This record gives sequence, structure tokens and C-alpha cells, in this order.
Amino acid sequence: MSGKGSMVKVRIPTPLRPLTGGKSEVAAPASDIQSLIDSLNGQFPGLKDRVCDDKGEIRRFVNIYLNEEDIRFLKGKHTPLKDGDEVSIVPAIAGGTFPGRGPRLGTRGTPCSVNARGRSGGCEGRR
Amino acid sequence: MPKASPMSTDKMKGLICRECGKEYPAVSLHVCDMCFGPLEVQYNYKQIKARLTRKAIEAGPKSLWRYVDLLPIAGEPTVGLNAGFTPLVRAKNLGDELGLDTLYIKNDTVNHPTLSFKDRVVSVALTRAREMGYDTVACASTGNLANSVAAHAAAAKMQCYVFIPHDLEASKVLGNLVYRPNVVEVEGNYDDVNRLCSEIAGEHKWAFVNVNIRPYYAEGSKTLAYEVVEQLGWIAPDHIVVPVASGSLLTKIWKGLNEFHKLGLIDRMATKVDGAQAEGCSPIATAYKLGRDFFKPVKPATIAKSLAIGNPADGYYALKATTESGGAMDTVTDEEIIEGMTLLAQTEGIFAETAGGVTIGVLKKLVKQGLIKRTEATVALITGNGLKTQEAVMNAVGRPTRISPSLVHFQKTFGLGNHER
Repeated sequence: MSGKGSMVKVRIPTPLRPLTGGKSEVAAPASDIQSLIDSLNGQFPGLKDRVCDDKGEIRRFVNIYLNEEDIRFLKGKHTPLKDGDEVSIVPAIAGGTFPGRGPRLGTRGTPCSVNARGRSGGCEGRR
Repeated sequence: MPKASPMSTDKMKGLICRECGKEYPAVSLHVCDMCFGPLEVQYNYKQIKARLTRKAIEAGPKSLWRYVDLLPIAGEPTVGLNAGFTPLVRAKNLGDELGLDTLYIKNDTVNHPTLSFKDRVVSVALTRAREMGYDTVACASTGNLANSVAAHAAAAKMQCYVFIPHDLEASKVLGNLVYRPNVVEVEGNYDDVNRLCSEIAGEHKWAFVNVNIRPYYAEGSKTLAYEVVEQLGWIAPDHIVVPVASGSLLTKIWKGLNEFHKLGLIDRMATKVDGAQAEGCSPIATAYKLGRDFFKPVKPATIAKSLAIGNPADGYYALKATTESGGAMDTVTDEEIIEGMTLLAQTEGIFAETAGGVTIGVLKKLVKQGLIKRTEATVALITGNGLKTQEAVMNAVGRPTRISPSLVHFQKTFGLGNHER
């Protein structure tokens, strides 16, 4: 492993953005997922505590995807990284708005079969 | 935004993260802001134990509210006063068919008012939503939950939005529309609906029963376990077979049994909790078979639409509960689901929806494999009504025999001979 490792792009979920100064995407050098988390923690202190438990294991309800594949199905925190890889950190249970992977659902049509009682002019949920 | 409970209560301590143990007050919040784990209601079991007895429960109303001491509401129940306490049916014919001496069907196909176990969770969720000051309720649903939220919201005069996948069974769609909520059909599967609802819940101050007030809502499922135990004469069965979608029901069945044991309401608790999934959507059963404690989300393709959750929120805990209890999980094909539905109908006279077919199909497999033994007292949870999923069995039940209004024609048709003088 080279000391610096590869440069990878990391997508940060909303609840962690207070730690990244509001940035939704950051770059960091790393050779594998574990070194990526350490590297991110160097740039954004406190981030590792949120993503890993006190034994350094990735928390159960934090999903990490490498190019759309859950790293649990790769080599977990030892999954190697190469230049240009994209990593997403995604809370397993949605707690509000967050950047997901795949299509953003809110941008698709959501027809209202019924808009009853005349209380609103449309689907308020559409944004 | 989280709202404080209008009154404090001695039975509910607050919420606690199932993963890291961080504690929160009893507000509308479902994810730990530290570790992203799910939150759960925490009770003062000591105080509950001091006053809760079999007698006290037996003297309660003939509804799930007889267990109010173990449900997460601060005051009196105000919504869904008639839900629960459904029949526990001794299923001798089906038991004979499958090779079980003691089989029971917990029949939530006749739950009040919308014919599924969701009337339990919704009664709790809407009572809690009201006491937290919400006037609008909502849910992401595969159908049954939407029906129940819509019905209870109508009766409680609350505003209501239900979000469903676009391809639901006709009866489940109609079973929303009739109550006049805002029915939102999303072009996508349940997991898409759920994802969208999480975003909406972040924008609007609504009580999304299975999003921001999920910790309270989910507790309602425990009442199925409580009722089974009470109806068996305060005995926990050897097996409970549970249909698995998000994994919440199975997790709460396990929790309910353990609570009764911890509170001394039952002496012995050695129940194995078995999980049933459809082959076309079996992320949890697949992980179980592979011996994993994590699962791979899937794109559902099954006629059991009420179980079609490809990314189950409580999948991990369902796996854990089944493993801890020594139970098993298995899957059935669409054909086996239909077989299960017709077998239950034709042996016990109970018309279950597709999820019931999954439960009966898996029960049959587990008995065949020797994982449930002939002498073990077994309860199958039948959680929804077959009249809501008629499409599934339409081509498997034959047609009526048509005759002219003539006695002779009738007797000829059925080979009954001519007894006319």
C-alpha cells in the first residue's frame, strides 16, 4: 500500500454535513475504506465517531457504498480503493432528507388519485 | 420537529437507541442522531410489574387496550378502541393435514375495522399522534397500513395522506378511497414510497406513523403476542410463525413474549419465532439461510404485495430475534402461496390474503423439515384478509356451476338422481 493512496470522492449525508462545513461531497486520499475514514476524520474531526463504533467497526445502521455496491458484500472496511472511485455514506434508516444513491424519488411523478375534502390544491409532498 | 409529550407518564421513560443506548425524551423521532440506529420506547418495567397482573388484564376491555400498561401512550386511548382481541382458532383440520397435534390460527383477518393486524399499530400510533398534538397523519404502505390509517383518521377527524405503490390490488386501493383521505399513488415500489415519505416527513409536520412516530407505532404489534399467550391460558406456545415484511412484527412478537416473561405473567418462555417470506422478496430469509447478520436489499417480485419490502427497516432485528429464539426462516413460491391460501380456506374456513398463504406455506415446509415437531404447540399469525387480494386466487378457485332454475337440471348436474314423484 502506498502511503497516500488513491483520491476518492465521498458523498456525505445531511446529518454529517455539519462536520464537513455543509459540503455534500468531499475528496480524500485513501487505500481502503478504513484509511478513507481515518483520512476523512483528519479533515473533519469527529466524523469517525459517527460512522464507527468505539471498536472501530462501521456502525450497523451506516451503509457505505463503493460505486453503488454495499461494502459488506465486498471486503468490508478492508475494501481497496482506486483513483476515481466514488464512495457514499448513507444512514440505513432515513431520518429526513439526505442524498441517496440512485434516482431521486421526489423528482418523479406522484399522481394524486384523490385530493379529498378540497383542503389543498395538490400534493403537498411534492417539492 | 419533535414535540414534547403533553403529560409525563410513569410507564414510559422515553426513547432509547437500540444500537448505542443514547436516551431521548418521548418525542416524535425515530433515528438516533449519533449513530443512526433506530429508536425504541423504553418503559419503567419495575413500576409496571408492581401493578400488572393477569387478573387486571383479564378485567380490561375486549380489545388490544387491555394491554395499555405496555403500550406507549401517556393518557387514555382515544383512537381504535375496538381493535384487536381477535379469535385464536384451534385449527384441527389444518393440523391433521400438516402433521401437527396442536395448531392454532391467530385470526387477524377479522380485526376491526380494516381486517388486518395494522389496526393494532394504527390504534396506538394515532392515539399517540393525537396526544403529541398532530392533526395530520400519514404513512408509507403496501396497502393494509394505508387502509387502517385512512379509516382511523376518518373516525378521529384527522387529516390524512396515504402513500402507496402504483400497482396495488384493487381492493386495497378502494379500501383507501372510500374513507376520503389523500391517496397518493407513487410510481415505484414500496421502498421508493418509503424513501419519498422520509423526505416528506422532513418537510412537513405530520405524524408519519411508520416514519417519525415509528417507535410508538411498532409497539402495537406486541399485542398479537400478548393475546396469543392470554388466549392459550397464559402459556407461551412452542412456535409462532410470522410473516415478514419490514421485520417489525416478528421483532415485536419476540419482544412481547419476553416482556410477559420478565413481568412474571408467564412462568416459562421457550417460544421459537419463525419467519416466513415470499421467494420473490426474501432478503431476510436469504440472510438467515446464509448465516449472515446483514442482508442485501432486493427488488421485490411476488404476488404477496403486502410483504414486498426489499429493504426491510427491521431486517437485522428480525434475524436476531429468530436466531436468539432458536426459530427458523423459509420462503415459498407464488404457487405455494396460492396453495397455502386455499389450504387454509378449505380446512379452516379462513380466507387469508397472500401473506397468510406465505405463512401457511412456510409452516408446511418447517413441519416437513422437522423444524417444527408434531407435538409442538404452534401458532400461525394470519395478518390480513383474502377479500383484499382476490386477484391472487381468482384463477385458482374455479367457477360457480350455472344451472337453469330447475330441480331436474340441478339434480342432473350434480348426479343426485331424480326423486320427483
